[in-house]
Amino acid sequence: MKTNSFRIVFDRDILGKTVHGGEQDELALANALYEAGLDDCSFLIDGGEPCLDCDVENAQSLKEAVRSVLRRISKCGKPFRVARLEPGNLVTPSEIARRLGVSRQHIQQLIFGLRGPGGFPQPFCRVSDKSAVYQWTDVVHWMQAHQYLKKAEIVKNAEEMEKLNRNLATAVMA
Amino acid sequence: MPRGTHPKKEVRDAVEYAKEHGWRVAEAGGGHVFCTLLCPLKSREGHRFFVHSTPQNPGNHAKRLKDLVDKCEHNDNQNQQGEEEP
Repeated sequence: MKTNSFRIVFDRDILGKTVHGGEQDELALANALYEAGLDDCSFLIDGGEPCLDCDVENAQSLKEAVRSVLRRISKCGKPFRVARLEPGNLVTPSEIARRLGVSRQHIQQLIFGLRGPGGFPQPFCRVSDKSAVYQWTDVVHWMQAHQYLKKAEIVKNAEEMEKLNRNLATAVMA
Repeated sequence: MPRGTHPKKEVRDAVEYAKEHGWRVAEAGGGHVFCTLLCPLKSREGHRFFVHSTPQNPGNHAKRLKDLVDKCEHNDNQNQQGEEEP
């Protein structure tokens, strides 16, 4: 049975603003999500952000799985606002290695042309003089072109997730 | 303390795993949430996980909890995460 796994990160404003009120607000949110049929997802607070970790079975694609969860969220009766979906499209070399199940050293060697055909995608940006960030869609396209990917659906999922995130600007959960 | 023990072994094991890393268990007070697990950081910025009483897939639910515990930087066994180097 295929499982599509992803994370929905909500806008922090849905949490209570006060310390004491916040705990009950969080429980109310967790219960509301479960009652909306999201018993295949786990509600949690990660780094101060309210999140829903989803493991959706029986969906034909990642896009369908995400839409299924968003539909159920919309029926919660709570003002959930989705900030972003994860896995996101911006990745460090360490994250590239983790997603592909290879060592960071392997990725660094590909980046610097010490292994493989060279021409690794250009960084999307740098967060410091030494820290490069890449677009995951660029990376997987390059990987696929040079036959490094074991699963073709990695490219499709990357493209779908990036498109869903770009469309989120117009998505309102009410 | 939460009412009784969780009916699913995978979830019980994951809760114990969290407690071994210094996480605290808070009573949920009813509803679908069995208990809330709070990471060692005693502030609103700490991690929290809401354990379902009847998760659809206990294995996945337990794994999500363990994943959060593993990445938490406030654990008693702290993970050192430095800045990314090229």
